[in-house]
Amino acid sequence: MSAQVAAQVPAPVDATAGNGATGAPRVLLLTEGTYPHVVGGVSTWCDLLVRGLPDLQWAVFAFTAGDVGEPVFELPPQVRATGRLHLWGTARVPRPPGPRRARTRTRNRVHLAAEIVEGLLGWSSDPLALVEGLVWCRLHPDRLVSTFRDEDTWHHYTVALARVLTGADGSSGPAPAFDLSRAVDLYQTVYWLARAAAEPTPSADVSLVTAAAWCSLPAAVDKALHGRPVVLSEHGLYVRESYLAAVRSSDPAAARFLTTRLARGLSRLTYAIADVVAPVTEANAAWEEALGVARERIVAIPNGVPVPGDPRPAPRSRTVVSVGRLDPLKDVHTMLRVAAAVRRRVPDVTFRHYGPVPQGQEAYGDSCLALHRELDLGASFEFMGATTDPTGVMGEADVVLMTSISEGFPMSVLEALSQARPVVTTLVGGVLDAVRGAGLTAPPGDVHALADAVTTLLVDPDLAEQLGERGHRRVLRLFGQQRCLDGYDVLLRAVAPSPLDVGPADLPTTTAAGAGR
Amino acid sequence: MRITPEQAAARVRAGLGRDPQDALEASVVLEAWGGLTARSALPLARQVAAIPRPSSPAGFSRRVTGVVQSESTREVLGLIATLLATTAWVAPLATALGAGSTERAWKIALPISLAVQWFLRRRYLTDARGLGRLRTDRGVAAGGTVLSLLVVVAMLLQPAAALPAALVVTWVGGLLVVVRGWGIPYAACLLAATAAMGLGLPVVTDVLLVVTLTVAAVAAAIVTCPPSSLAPTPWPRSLVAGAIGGTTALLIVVDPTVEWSSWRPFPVIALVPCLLGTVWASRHLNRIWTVLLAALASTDFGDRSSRRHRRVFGRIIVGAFGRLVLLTAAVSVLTYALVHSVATSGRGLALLLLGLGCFGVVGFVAALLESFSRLLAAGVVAVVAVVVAAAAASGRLPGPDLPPLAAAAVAAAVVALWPVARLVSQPDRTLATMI
Repeated sequence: MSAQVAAQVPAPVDATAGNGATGAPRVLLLTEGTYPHVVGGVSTWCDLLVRGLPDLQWAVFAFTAGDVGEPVFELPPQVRATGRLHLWGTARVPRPPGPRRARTRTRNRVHLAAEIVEGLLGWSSDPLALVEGLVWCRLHPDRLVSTFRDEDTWHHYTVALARVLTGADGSSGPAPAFDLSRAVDLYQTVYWLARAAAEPTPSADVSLVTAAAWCSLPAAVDKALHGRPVVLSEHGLYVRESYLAAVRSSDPAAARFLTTRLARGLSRLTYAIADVVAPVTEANAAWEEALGVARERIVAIPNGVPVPGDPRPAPRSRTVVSVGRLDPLKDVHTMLRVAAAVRRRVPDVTFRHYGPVPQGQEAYGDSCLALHRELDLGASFEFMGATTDPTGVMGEADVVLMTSISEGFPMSVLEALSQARPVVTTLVGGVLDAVRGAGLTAPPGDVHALADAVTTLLVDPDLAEQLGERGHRRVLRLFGQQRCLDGYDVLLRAVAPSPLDVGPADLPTTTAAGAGR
Repeated sequence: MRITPEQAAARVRAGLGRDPQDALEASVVLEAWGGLTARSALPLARQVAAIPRPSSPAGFSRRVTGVVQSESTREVLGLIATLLATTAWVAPLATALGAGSTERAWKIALPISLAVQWFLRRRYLTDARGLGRLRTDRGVAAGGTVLSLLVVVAMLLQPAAALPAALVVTWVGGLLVVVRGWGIPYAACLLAATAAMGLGLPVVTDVLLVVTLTVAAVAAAIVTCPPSSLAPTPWPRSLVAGAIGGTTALLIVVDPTVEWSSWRPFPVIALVPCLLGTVWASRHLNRIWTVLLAALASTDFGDRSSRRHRRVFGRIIVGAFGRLVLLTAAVSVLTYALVHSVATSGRGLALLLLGLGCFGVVGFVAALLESFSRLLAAGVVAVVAVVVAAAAASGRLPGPDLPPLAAAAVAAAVVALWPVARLVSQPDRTLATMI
């Protein structure tokens, strides 16, 4: 990283110290494939956050990809939708910042693609070395296309890619065979990374990044240009889930290599620029630390649910409920096998699974139906489709089951506990933090252990009730929604610069003259 | 759970069916299927990744996604029907509205139509969901509809003044209808309208009917397409494409040897050979997305200086050019044989066919460069061709006395030689930089 840009990237602030700010911070919420365009857990969390903290001034910038249309969430009045970049679309490149007359003719940055490839895909690279190139993208968006059409850019890119492919150390093996066509595809991806960095953002006091991924690129630029602090809120772990998806895919080795290396690079960059990393569970902290986040910059803020009233008694109808989209990460195949194993021991059991088939997972949804037929589950396992009342459907359950192979701090578990229902779950992510003493756990994919646990609770409803009541008390004590909101309120106010530090006037937007600072 | 690095390595290999790519991949396997927490899995995974293992397989085959071939046959039928139908209007229109205004209408409408067609192809029709994108771009769709309806009204009130616009609507609308896959029924309707004229329907009424039918067909084509949320190509890029298309079309209106109303074998008929040649050449160029990509996919990155894929790309370009020239020449000869008896002069007809064939060459070269985002080169080719054609037409071109369009084609080919050679010399770079 050059000394010039190193000086531009401020040192991380101490999140625990506070800054005495008295004004309401302006928060730029950067989302990716979620709020407000796509329904899902992170989107629900974002909606809860912006509605639950109306005193903050919110602006939302959304990254989308694929066939995603208009927003599906209605934004409350305190929230402005300030931008959207549809990746791999054909959106117009933004105008360069500053008045038209003041712009000077800039030459193409022919090393840009090489810098991005080495910065993000190199195993041992310094992710902050990339920031200077990203800042250039923001300052010279009008040069991006011509830079990437420049034959010299391609030349430097191929040299850098060759270095990445031949570089290895003890933690990474040799790169797989890599063909020219994939190099061409990667070049276009690199263009879109530059394009994401070039996207102008509105003036704000804090960037709240919701994934250690593409949406952190504008935040990295804003931090370098304006010293705007960055808070990363991690739900699932982007890098971990990318590796999981790659492991489960039948893609060639080179494709897996690219997707995982890119995810790793983006995560390392996000961790490097984040002043505070706020995972939903301490369990995620291990990965964050392993990828370079100092322990003192990690502040876990668990999800929360509304304060529950008195729970309804369990129906004692031997009903097992599960909630979650039909997605390989939820491992619905294991759930179906668990159902088959439980039915052999408890013939009158009924499983009800609530959750949609998300876009892009239609094949997985079909495979679940095929396995359902193959196991001859019939009416004993019902796919109920999406539900708008995930908490309410927990009331139908005697036992709530979750078989995910990756989770952050799952809302469905909290919702079950809030309704005093015992949970049988795989031991992944922050599940143990949530369910401790209020359910039974098993290793992921362990059909027998999961089936044993479900059977135990079905045949011993008193034990189930006892665990459920414990969970209910646990939610009341630890996982209230207000507690989660207060955590973010304190964190964002602490990280935002004090009005005394920055002056009363609005900070300049990155599209205006301030971009040159 | 306590396991040794060797046991962990075995667990990871069993889970993956291969060696892990790196420590993080080993870690997710140990967590997701090994029952380890992240705190245990991550350090263990580093040791797993450090355990010596055989190197990755040397090669792999990559599935290449083929580009869906356009419905070329239907498209050609539709476009030819549109051309022939409008050709049939010429003599009656010249009688009804005057030869001068008819010729002027054609000279105005041709470049505008080609410019709009190139613009639409670049902005919307880049893949199968193009019409859906046009539907979603409501401003353009609504503006186009209003303008088209105004043309219908204008044809009722001032047919002579509105004729160029009517031609533009017919030719551009015809493209959209055939892209929708309705080329054959649309062609049948046009031929029926032409036949109606032979049965005594006034030509202005016939034009009005065809324009109305085209507007309705375009509206139906767009409305029946599912909307696409994918953004169209940005305006500046699309407008440049339209400008290049319009400039190449100027060639055939600046050439004074191409007359647009007095010849009985109307020049539009002479456009058919190069249109067919262009379609065949374009079809062949689609091999870039199958054959060339397959060649690149089977070339190791380390062998990127290999000449193999260069030869593949070169063959595709030369093959496309050869198809353009061969088919255009063959159909031109056939056209000559069919219509020379009704031509004013055989030599004039031959020169016309040669000129429009050369126009096809200029269009092919400009389109090739434009499609690979070599916009400056494409623009230079188009402008040089027009300037040379104009110079040849005015007798100010030194050297052999070539027909203007032939001179333009030679100039365009010479100018395009270097940029096309650059394209071919490194196909991977060409495909990567066509952003």
